[in-house]
Amino acid sequence: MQYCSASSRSGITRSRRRIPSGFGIEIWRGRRAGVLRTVACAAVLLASGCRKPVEPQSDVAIDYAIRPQPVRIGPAILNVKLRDAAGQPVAGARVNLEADMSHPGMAPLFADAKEIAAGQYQAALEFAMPGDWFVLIHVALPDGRRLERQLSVPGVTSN
Amino acid sequence: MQVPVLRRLFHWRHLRTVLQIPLLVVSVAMILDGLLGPSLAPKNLATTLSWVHFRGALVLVLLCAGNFFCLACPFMLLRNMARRFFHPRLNWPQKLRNKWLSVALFALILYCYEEFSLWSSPWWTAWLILGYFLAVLLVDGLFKHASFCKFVCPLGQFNFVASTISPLEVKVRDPEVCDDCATKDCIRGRRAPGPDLVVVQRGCELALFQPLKVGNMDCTFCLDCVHACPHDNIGIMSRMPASELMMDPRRSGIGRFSQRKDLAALAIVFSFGALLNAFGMVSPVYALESWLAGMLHVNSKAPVLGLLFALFLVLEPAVLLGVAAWLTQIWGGSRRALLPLAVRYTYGLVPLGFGMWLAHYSFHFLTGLFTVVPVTQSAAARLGWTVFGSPRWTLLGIPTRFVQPLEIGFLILGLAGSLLVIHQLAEGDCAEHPMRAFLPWAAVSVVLWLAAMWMMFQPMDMRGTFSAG
Repeated sequence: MQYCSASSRSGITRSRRRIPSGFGIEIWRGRRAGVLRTVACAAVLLASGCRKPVEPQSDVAIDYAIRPQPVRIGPAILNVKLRDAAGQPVAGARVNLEADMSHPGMAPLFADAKEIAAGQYQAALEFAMPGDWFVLIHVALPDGRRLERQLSVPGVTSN
Repeated sequence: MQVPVLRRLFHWRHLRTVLQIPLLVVSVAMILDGLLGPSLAPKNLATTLSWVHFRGALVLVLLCAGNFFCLACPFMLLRNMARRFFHPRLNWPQKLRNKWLSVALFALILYCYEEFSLWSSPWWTAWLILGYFLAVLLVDGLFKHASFCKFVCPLGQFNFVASTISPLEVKVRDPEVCDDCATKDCIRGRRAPGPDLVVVQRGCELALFQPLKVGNMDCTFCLDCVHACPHDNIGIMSRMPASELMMDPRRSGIGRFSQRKDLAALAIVFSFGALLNAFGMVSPVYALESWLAGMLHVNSKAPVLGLLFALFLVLEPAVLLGVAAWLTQIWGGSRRALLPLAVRYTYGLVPLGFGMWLAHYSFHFLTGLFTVVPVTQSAAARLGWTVFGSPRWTLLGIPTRFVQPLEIGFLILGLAGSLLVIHQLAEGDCAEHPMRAFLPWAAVSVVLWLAAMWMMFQPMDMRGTFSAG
């Protein structure tokens, strides 16, 4: 079975743009200038700064695989492997799954994964509707730390 | 309104602002959560409120009452605030004083909804709302009156067309009072005495002169006319839903429906777009898209979607309405030319289209009714507010088995409304053989209704992914 790696070591960093100090502001005057400046600043800040915060790096890698492929409506099995920085399996974790459709307002699925071998966890999901799904893997490590990964399951088809 | 409490409420000058403020706060929350919150649509306020709750509540309020969402429009609150600083000096260009631009924008939004899978993207949904605010400020910052509402706003056009089915209308109580009125404040507004002529109460910004206004088309329910009338002669009245579609008088600010090709185009996009929007959410559309992509040898979604839109919003209406108009002409003996005939009867499809929008949007609204609770809890928790408790993601809504009969009921109601409107139009058009004029258009309605019913029983399939054939 081929696993997809979702290690968070490859964290993404995004640069934040700065507004040049003399950004044509001098040409605006009076009360209107204040309003325009506020709107312009808000727009620039929204465009450049409003990104989701990058998750802090973790030394635990989460690999997962789902079958059958392609995924169809009905039962599916999700396998999750947890490895520490040395590549050793992480046993004794609690792994919960939550599956959501890409459209809001649809029924989510929940499942608890069982540890079938050291560091290997398995859960059954029952996809009820065709379409694009996302599976959230919630991991509670034995030392109390919590991790979350998002798995995209696009184009679940009807049988 | 003769109901004492409601009458006082609708005469209260600050009612609109009081309704707009909460919606503005919610809109800002949606924008912020869309830009900063979770990227998963079911976990985000922007997508959940926009695509589940707002749309559903909108069509249900339009069905049960009237265009109250335009009344509470938060974009207009911001515009009014901005107009304290900016006083527009330009008039909306003469060539754009029609619905063609808004029809194109309406179709564009439907296209973008599919192309960018807006329902699954909090980021794009937030930018759509933000873009709307900026567009309102730009258009109404430059142009006088309510240019954005009347000539641009695609959402407003949806509301205008749908509100022709609503049971409430803003209208004159006693026409004789208007005959004796010398000031016409309902359209001109009231100005303070003095050299500056400061407006103390706006008249209708959409150029609807109450004594000659017919129906809800172009009426935002802003209640400016209600507040402006010095005789307390304008109110929110009940009426027979869709009655304004059955007649064709000259309407203030609009003219005759039968002479407005742009309005007919709006009715076409409204009616056929309802089916297309629902078709985009069932399994067969992906098979069709895949087949079309194979035929066209393309791997991109855009051209395939463009072709589908051309087929369902242009070719299909042209063929169906063209054939029906031709049959009405040769069989019913109507003396009208082909295009005016098609324009006249196109409005008959509005109830059916509204039935489809109702069935579609109320389904999402009712089956996902309580999902707003955990999404709000989650958004509050991210801000550190634990007062709402931890999110209960299992909260959902009314089970599908109870909602589906309602959907079918809405579609039947839509078909019945369309048949009634078409029959009334046929009686006015061909007094000698009304049935001959009625039958071709009734056939078009039944064909569209059958298509809508077929879609209702298809498996729902919501994909943003595109697989070429």
